[in-house]
Amino acid sequence: MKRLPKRKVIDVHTHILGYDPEANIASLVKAAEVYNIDKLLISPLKSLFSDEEEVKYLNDYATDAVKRYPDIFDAYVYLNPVHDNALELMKREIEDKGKVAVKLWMCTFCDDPRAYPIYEKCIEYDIPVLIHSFLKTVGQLENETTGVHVHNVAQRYPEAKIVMAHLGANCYHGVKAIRNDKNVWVDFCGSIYRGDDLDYTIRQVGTDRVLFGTDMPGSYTTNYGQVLDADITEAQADDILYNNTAKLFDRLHWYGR
Amino acid sequence: MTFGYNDSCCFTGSWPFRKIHKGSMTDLMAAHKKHGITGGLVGCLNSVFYNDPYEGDEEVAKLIRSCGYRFAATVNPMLPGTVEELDNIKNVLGADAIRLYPSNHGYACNCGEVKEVAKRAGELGLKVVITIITEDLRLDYCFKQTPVNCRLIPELLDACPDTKFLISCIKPHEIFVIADELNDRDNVWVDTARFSHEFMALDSVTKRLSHKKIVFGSGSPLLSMRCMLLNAECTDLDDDIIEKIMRSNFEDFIS
Amino acid sequence: MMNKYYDACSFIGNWPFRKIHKGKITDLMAEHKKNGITGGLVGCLDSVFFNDPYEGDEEVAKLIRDCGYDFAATVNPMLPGTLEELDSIKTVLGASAIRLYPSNHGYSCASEEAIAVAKRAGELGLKVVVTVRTEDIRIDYCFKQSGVAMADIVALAKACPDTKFLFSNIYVGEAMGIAPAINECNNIWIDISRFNHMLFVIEKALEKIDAKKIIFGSGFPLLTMKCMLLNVEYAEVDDSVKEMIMSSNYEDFIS
Repeated sequence: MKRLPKRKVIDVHTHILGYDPEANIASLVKAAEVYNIDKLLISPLKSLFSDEEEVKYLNDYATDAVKRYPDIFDAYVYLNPVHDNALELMKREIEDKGKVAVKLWMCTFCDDPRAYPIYEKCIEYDIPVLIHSFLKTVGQLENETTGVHVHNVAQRYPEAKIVMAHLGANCYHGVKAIRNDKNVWVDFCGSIYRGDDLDYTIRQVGTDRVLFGTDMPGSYTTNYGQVLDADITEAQADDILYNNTAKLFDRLHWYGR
Repeated sequence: MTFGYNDSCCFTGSWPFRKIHKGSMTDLMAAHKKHGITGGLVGCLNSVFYNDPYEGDEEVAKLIRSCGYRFAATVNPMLPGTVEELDNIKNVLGADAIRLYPSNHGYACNCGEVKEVAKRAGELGLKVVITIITEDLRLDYCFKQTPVNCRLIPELLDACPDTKFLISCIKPHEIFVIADELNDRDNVWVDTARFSHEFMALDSVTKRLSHKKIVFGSGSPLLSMRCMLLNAECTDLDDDIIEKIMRSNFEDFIS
Repeated sequence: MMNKYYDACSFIGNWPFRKIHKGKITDLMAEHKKNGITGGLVGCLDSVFFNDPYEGDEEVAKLIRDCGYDFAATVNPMLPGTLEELDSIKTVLGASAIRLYPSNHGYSCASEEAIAVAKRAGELGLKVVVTVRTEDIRIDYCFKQSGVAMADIVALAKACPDTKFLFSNIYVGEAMGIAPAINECNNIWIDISRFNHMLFVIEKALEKIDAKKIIFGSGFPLLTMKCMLLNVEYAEVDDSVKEMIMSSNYEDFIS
C-alpha cells in the first residue's frame, strides 16, 4: 500500500456516522494509516434532530472508539441544545470521558438562545466549539446554520473559541460573514469545494485561522490536495495542517503515535 | 460640442454573455476622446457576477482612477459583510460611488439591506448608482434578470436623504412612472444610457423630468457610445440644457 | 509512473462567478508540468456563457493547440447554425472535441438537437464531452444550473454509436448508477474531476466501472489539480490500472 509521505497532520473534522459506525471507524483507521495522519477528531452524528437517547448512544460510541484507538482518535461531545440535560451531558463528557471540544450540528441554528449556555460552558472550560455551517442555494435544511449565524455567536461571545465548519459551504458568503471575528477559525472540509476556496479564505482571514479538516468518511485527498495546491509557504501549510489545531485544541491526547 | 463632457455610465472588463471587443481602459479612453468626453464614472463588468465583487474591483480600481476617471464599485447588498466593506471601497479602492445591480442580484430596491448599504454609502460620501438593467430583458441568454420595480425607488430615496442616487439604464417610460417623485427630491439623477427606444427621447423626458436631473451616460461598451451622443446632438433642447446634461449635472451629482 | 499523462478536463480563461487566479495557458502548463502531466483536453471558460461560443473559442484555440494540448470547443446545440459550424470548429479551430454544457444551457441531452450535433461531430471525428456540471449546484450564485439526467446522457451516447463520448464532471455516485451502460457501450468514457465526495473513491468506482473507461481529469482551474491526482496516486490498485487512468484510456478516447 502506497502511503502519503510523513507530515504532521491533525484532522479537525471527521465523523462516525450512526448508520454504520463500525464501517466508518474501519475507514478512518485505514485512512489514518494510508494518509499518515497523526490525529483524527471524531464527532458522532445520526439524525438531523437527535433525541436524548440518540445523543447518549452517539457520544458513548465515540468514547468507545477513542478507547479502542487512543493513538488515532480524540472526540467531540455532540450536543442538542434543546435538551434539558445538554449541560449535564457536556460536563460528564468533558470532565469524565475525555472529550476535547463541543460539536453542534443541525438541531438548532447556532445562534439560538438555547445554545447560549453551551457557549458559556465552553468559555469556562476554555474549549473550542465546532459548528456545522452550510449555506446552499438548493436543499437548505431546517435549522442549518450559515456564516451569518456564526458571526452572531462570535459577536455575542467574543471569548468563545469557534470553529466554523465547511467555510460555511460557499466561502464567498461564509468567510465574508466572519472575517472580522478574530475568535472564529474555519475548516474547509466537505462535499463542496472549488479551486480557489482555500486561497480566497486565506486572503480574507490569513493562515492562522484556518484548520485542516476532511469530513471523512468524505474524501481525504480533496482536502489535503487543496493545501498542497494553495498559494502558501511550507510553514503556512504546516500551520494549517497541524500547528493551528494543536494550539487551539489543547486537550488532545497524545500517545506517541 | 465642446470638450470636457462626462460619461456617467461606462465600464471596463469582460462580460459573461458575449465577447467584449473594446473592454480595456485604453479602448474606453479612445472612444471618449473621439467624442470630447474627458471623464466620468466607470464600473467593472467582471465584478457584476462575482461571488465577491471586491475581487474584481480591486484589480481595476487604481487603473481607472489613474486614467482620470471616477470609479464605481460593484456592490451586492445581500452579501454578508457588505456594509463593513464600504469603508474599504471608499478608502482602499478610492471609489466615488457604488453601483447596485438589483436585476442581476435579484432583490427589491426598498429592502432593508439596500437601505442600510445606501445609508452607510452616503455617510462615507459614496454616491449610489442603481442599475435598472444590464441587458435588455428580451435578450437575456442563460441568465435571466429580475425586472426592477422602479416604483419602489422613491422609498429608498426617502430612507437615505443624505445619499445621492443615480438611476442608471432606466428607460423613459419607467421614468415617467416616478417622474413627480424624482422631481420632488434633490438627491436623485437619472442617466441617458437606455434612452434608446424613442424618437427625440431627451425632448420627451425633459417635458416630464427636470433637465437638471439628467446626466449623460453611454452604457459603453455594452451599448454604443454614438447612439446616446446623437440623442443629445439631435434635439430641440437649448444648448445650455445639453451642456448641463453632458457636463454640469454630473458634476452636481458626483461632487 | 510513465511519462505521458493526460488531463481530460481542464480549462483556461475567465469565469463569470469568481476571479480565476490561474486562468492563463501558462498557468495551466506550469501546473501540469509540476504534476507530470504532458497533455490533455482544454476548453475555454469564457465561451461557456457567450451567446456565440465560437467568438470566445477562436481567440484561444490556436494558442491551446500550439502548447501541445487538444482543444475542446464549446457548443450549445440549441443555437441556430451549430450543426453547420461543426465543420469550422474542426477545420478552422482545429478542435479535437466539442464540449457540451447542458446544465448551463438548459437542454436535455436526449433532445433532437443534441443528438444531431453529436452525430455530426462523430462523422467529423470530433469527440463529444458532456459536462454534467460546471459548479456544485448547491453554491450556484446568480445563475442556477439545471440538472442533467443520467438517463439522457446514456440515451445520447446510445443514439450516436459512432461518436466517442466523455462524461465529464460526473459524480462517482452518478457514474456508478450508470455503470452497466458505461461498461457495455464502447463509445463512453468518464473523467474523475468530480470524484471528490468519498474516501478511497477510485477503489470504490472500480468495483463497478471498467478500469478502461476511467480517465483522469482535474477540473483545473475551477477545481484543484492535486485533489484528484492524489486519489489516483494513493489508490490501492495495480500500477497498471493507474497507468490506464492517467494515460492510455485518454489515448483510446481521443484517437
